[in-house]
Amino acid sequence: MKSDVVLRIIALMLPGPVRARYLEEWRADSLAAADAGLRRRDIARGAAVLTLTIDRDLPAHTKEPRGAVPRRLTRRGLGLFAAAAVVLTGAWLTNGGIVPEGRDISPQALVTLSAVAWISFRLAILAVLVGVLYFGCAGVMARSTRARIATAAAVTGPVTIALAVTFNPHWTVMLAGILLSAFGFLVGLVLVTGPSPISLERRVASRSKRIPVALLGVAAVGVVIVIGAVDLLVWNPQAKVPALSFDAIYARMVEVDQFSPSSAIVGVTLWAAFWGGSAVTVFILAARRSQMWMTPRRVSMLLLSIIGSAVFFRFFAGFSIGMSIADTFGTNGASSSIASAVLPYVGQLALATAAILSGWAPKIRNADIPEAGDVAVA
Amino acid sequence: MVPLSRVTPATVDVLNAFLSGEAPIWGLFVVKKTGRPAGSVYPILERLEGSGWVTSNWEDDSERTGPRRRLYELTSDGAAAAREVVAAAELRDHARAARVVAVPSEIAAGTLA
Repeated sequence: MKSDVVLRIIALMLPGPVRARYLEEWRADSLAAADAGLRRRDIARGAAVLTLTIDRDLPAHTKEPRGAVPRRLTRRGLGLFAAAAVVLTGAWLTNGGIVPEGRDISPQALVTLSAVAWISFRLAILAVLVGVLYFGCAGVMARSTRARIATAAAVTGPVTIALAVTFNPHWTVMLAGILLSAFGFLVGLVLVTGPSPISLERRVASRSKRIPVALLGVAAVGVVIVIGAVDLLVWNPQAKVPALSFDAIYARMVEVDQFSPSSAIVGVTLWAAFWGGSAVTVFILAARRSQMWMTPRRVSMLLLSIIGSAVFFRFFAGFSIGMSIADTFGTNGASSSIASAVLPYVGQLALATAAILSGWAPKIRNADIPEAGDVAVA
Repeated sequence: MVPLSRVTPATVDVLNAFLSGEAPIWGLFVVKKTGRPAGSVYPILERLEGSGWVTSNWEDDSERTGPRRRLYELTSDGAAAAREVVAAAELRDHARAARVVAVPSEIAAGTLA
């Protein structure tokens, strides 16, 4: 009875499609072990060794072409690495997150923003660790030299960086960690986008599935653009100079700094039009019957990337206004409104989610649909 | 069928068990026949099956109760390849044995360089 439980536990670590087969085989051997002069624990030991050494990439075990599963795992790892890179770069660029300085900012808002910065940083670290795990599993499964090199670099790189951050040794240790991580990332990228696709099949979706996602995404882009534009032109100037009215702020900027409101409005409008137009283009594509390749996942990736990019390039759209405020009123050039502090997190979250979605390509199930117009690599 | 990337003495023993002519062959039988631990035999059987050297099926014995035994047999290509592998291993063993026998006789004759 006890050995049966042990065998069941060991079988849980086998690939799903062969789990029941090996469990029954081991149980039969275990029941007859005494007749063969063996102990049941010998069978359990053999089962454990098989679980460790089994070829997990064998098509009979995965029900997919050889290489498809490691490639998918690598892709997920890369998606997580890219998401973490977005968040960590954002934290670095904003020095741990923008702290709004406006007079009307409540302490609760500051605490919330601080908590978001704390959580997003740790989620990014978690994403790196899970990404390393995916790389490790892919390397073990793939059993190829390239995959092992990528795995070794992808595992040791982040660990080296973590050690360098913790113990602050010579700067070359940090450099080595960064180079190793980048090398692992690049080799992983080669594995995913290599010249010999292992599974050329089509991923498609009907209009009824992609249009709601596109509509929701366009609405989200619209909200970000409206908030971003109003914040650049109205909320942030008021937050920077709370003592003056909106009209007085602009009048003073025109008088002292020869600020041109119309140029600023044109700059912000161009920014809004470009990213809004991009979102509408994605929607039109998704709405066209022929664009079957626009699956909900791809539509989401595109629109989330637009949100992230719009937030990033908002900095340039609002640069002249921010500098003019700083020059006119002797303030710093940083943004002060609550929207200016929240939007970077929205942008980072959108880009990170797009990166994770790009790694989470589903298994292909509809390769035989003849009307599919696009070819995707698993 | 895929050639084996490495052939260990345990692999040769397992292939010998298949070539012994006894049937049916299942995991526990190979363990007993070769004297190798299950920790060696199970992975070898998995590797042989994954490489197309053997196939396996559930036993069809309505009189037996409980879990079924998994029965293995060499494929036609696998049988030919197994004979080659075993023959090559035997040749190596004979050559090694001949060297072991030759060296002491040379020592006795004083002709060893």
